Amino acid sequence: MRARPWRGTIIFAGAAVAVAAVTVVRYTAPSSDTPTSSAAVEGTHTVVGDAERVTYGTVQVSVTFTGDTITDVTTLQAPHAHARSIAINARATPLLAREAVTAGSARIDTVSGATYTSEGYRRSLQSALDQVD
Amino acid sequence: MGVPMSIDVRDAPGAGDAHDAVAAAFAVLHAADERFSRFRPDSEISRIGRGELEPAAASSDVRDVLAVAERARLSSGDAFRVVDPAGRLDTDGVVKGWAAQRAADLLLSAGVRSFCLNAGGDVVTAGEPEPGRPWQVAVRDPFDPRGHLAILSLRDGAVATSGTYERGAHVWDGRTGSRALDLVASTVVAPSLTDADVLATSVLVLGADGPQWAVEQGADLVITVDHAGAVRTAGGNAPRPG
Repeated sequence: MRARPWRGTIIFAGAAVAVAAVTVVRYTAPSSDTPTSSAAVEGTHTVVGDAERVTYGTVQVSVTFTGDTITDVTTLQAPHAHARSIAINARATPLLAREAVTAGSARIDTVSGATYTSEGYRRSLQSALDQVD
Repeated sequence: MGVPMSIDVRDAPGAGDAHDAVAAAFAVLHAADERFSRFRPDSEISRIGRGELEPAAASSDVRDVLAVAERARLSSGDAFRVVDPAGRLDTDGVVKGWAAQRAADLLLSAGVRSFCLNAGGDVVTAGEPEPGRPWQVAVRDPFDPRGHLAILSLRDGAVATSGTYERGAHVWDGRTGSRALDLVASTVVAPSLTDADVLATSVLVLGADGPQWAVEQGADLVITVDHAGAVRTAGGNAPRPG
């Protein structure tokens, strides 16, 4: 029997080498007719991984859990980070979509950045996960 | 490669289908990671590097990747090369985007209509995360791991970022062998991640001439940052360079 169409959010996270894939379920929508609603938020806690020295600086990540599942991985420190950050006027930044992003719209689904393939990143991430086991 | 990856699925034929499709997508990425590893002495890439295997006799995956790399080398005027200054074969700059695009194609062919795949900072999106709004892809600030340069809105497309701010000088200029580049980061938006990935790396090497060149190669949008923090763009709604 064909499974009914499914709509909701499932985030699968993993790494090509070190970290086992984990499934994170944020919301469940039983059918496309039902408005997406967030599941009751269980306790969230954030575990900070070790600060790992790499050739070009220090790498450190934190992992946020909601219940047992990973809901976020944040880079706290990365090589070449400067105190000064670039201020970008959102209206001056060209966007791909025809419609303009409304000023102040902070919703972000994902981040594109230079590859976090350093061994230090993996070790810091693993150290955060090891604290939970 | 060893990249962290996430796949965010919003609309699929069924929840079970989503799980199966994502497992297959991860398997594609794992397989590519092993096949193209420079650190496994028995990988095809290592064997080609030692002269033990002729590229023409390699697997179709390896031949595909090398063909992509050769097209990129020709169109970039040798700026993009998979042979490093020491003469070693290093396909990392093309494999990540190539493999992630194949993983995304697998999701589409499995009927997953809406997803956002992020493989080590390279992104492929399809559909809408929620009806009526596009995916919002932030571009990381090279100087602040928690800051963003811009937020890009897209439905079906790919975003690749190349930069020296995480791993230092791992990108080289194929024309000169130099690892000293004017740019610290480049981001390219294009219909395919395979193209966006090689274009982003090429732009990083080409410097000031990169963005306009990449648009001529088919990029939808290019964003670059130099050591002083100056941001330049091409494509999208950007003003044309004067």
